Amino acid sequence: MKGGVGKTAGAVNLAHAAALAGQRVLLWDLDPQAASTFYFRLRSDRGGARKLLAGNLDLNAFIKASDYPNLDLLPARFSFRKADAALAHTKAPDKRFRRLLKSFDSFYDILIFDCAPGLSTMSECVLAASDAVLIPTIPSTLSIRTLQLLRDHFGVTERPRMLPFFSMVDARRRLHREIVANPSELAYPPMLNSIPYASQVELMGLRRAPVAEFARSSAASRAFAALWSELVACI
Amino acid sequence: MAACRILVLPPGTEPDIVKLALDCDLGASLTQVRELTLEYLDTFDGRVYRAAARLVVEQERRTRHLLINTATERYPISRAPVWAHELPVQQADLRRKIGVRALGPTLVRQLVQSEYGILDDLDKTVVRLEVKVGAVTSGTDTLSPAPTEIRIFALRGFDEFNQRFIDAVLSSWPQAQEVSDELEVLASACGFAVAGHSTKLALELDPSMPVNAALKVMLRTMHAQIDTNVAGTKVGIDSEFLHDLRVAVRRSRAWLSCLRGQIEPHLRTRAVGELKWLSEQTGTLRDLDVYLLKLDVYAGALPAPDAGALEPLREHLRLARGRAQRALRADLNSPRFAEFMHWWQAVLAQSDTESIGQAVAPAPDEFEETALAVANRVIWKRLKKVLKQGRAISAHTPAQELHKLRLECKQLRYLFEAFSSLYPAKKIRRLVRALRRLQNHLGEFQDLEVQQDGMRLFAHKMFQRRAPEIPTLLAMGRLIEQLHQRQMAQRESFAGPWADFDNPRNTRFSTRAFRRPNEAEDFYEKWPGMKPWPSS
Repeated sequence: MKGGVGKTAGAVNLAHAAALAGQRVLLWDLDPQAASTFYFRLRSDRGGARKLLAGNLDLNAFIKASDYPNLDLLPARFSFRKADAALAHTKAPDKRFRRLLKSFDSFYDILIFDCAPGLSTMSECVLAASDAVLIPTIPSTLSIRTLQLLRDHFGVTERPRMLPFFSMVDARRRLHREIVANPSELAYPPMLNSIPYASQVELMGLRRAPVAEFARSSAASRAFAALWSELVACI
Repeated sequence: MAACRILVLPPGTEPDIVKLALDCDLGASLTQVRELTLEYLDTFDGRVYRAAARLVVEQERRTRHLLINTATERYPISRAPVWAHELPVQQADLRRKIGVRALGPTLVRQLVQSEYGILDDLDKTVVRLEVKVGAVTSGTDTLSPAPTEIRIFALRGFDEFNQRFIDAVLSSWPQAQEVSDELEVLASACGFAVAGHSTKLALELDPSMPVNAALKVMLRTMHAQIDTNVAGTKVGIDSEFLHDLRVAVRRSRAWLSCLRGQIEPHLRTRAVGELKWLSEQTGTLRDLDVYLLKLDVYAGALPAPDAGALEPLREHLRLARGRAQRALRADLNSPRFAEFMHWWQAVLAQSDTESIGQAVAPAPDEFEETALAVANRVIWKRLKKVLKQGRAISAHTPAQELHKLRLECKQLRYLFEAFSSLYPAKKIRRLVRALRRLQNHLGEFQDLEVQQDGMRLFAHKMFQRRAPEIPTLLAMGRLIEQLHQRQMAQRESFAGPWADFDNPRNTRFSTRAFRRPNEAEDFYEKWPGMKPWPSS
């Protein structure tokens, strides 16, 4: 829902952790800002929204291997921002979207979507197609409120499972400490592992690589690895 | 794993990857340099190669990995596997094909492997490379420079860069060769036959070639087979070396017996005598090999306490086998054996148009018979004998008659092995397959009796050295009983394999193929597609 909470950092680092664990991973960058695409040193493409929805686009042709074994990326396409509007006018958009994903089934174990901020038809389709939704949550009042809004809108579902995790946690701040210490206040039970506020995560933009590639022993890297292990146990 | 293309360059070439990348408007990053020793494993007869598989032991400093087929299938190991059961269980098919043969290093490479990422303007890796420069040996001490190998790994979505780089390599080295597998190129560099020594008999005879020439081809092949397997037999690498050596001896004896008129008598007498000696000297060790190979199978059928109690027997067999191995090694190192092999090779080295000595017994026109005419005659004679004996077998026939039939089948099988190239492949194969099944059935029956006798003998011998524990004797008794029951079951199921061999279809073929011996002229009409022997 919110921007700047660590969605892309989460998507990139969790995808990398999954690949390191031997899973075949595809990360789909659905954000027109193309941040995941940038982190993996790829170029975002143009065009194709209409063909995508008409089912005339073979998404497999756009997949690129990352620099890391087992991890591929579907780079962002700027025109997909138009896809949202087009999707809203189709019948059963979630079924249309799920059909698109079928071609990936046999080749990948894990499909991770890095969604754009905000609720849209596209993100609702992604939710409907997913087994789990990871929600990076800064331990702040507004974030807690946003979670409540999500719960009011979607309710509690078995599938997808809503899995908030605390992101950008600054242990020096009392508010962060108090919120993290009282997880029952959240609309959905949060994951046990949280991601600290760390300069290594910010350095991803300079290094253009997942944190574990340039700061393997850092707290942030270990935190993402632990979060991935917890996620595997959940789902 | 990304698709990989392999380019080989002349030995000693050290390609400038950075320059190549720059020529393609790309960058290059050297990510790793490794010093490696690679050992390619296979059996003596190339079973891994023929299974289209690869087993490579990769050693880097003190770390070893077993690579199976591709570098992505890697298993850490402490030492190179020798036996099939040491391979991962996922390789069930390969394990089955390797069977009882030992694995050993066929080629050893020492190399420096440099790993590169080829980069675009965003420093994204668009191609991965491994460059291998080094030397290779096939087991001698001499290292030969190995062709330089460039492995190019395509990354998904970057095909255009992949092809651009390959084009740059081929443009810089027009003599570069793209190969699907580097093993054959390496083997060629050090003069090694990568397919191993095949034990499959593939004699190519021609219907109208003189029988004398055919016999020379047959016996020379067996001499070579004995020679090839001597070294492995002496060392005792695995039991198949001795088995293949004994098969060559048996075939030679059988052919010398069936075609006795084609060789001067005194030469034949000596050859047969020495081959018989060789057969006798190798018998004890072979029997012990078989006992040990089968002990696991038989023990597996016993209840667990009994199976465990057989360990003293296994130890007794191992010690006996060690003694027999040493005795055989002495025989194979003896002047007698060396002289025989040298002499026999010289006898068979004469040209194909000369006789093996001077035949005395047959009349001159018989001596000049064609291979086909003689093959028809000897096969038909033996086949009639087998049919007569087999058809006489009933539920009450003594076991001794089945043993006799087994020996006749063996002689017939050796004749088919020698002369099958003279007949249409598909038809003869069907008959030979049925004979093999029958022979295996009779062989199993015989083996079970021999195993029972062996167990009784071993019990006595073990008692002479030191009285075995009661559980061991009881387990051996139970084993004898089981072997007896299996032997009876074999006896009762004789009819099935016999009917596969003796049936109207096979009879029709046999009558047509073998019955009339002097049909060289009609032969090509009967079997269109077979070509005549070129006249000298």
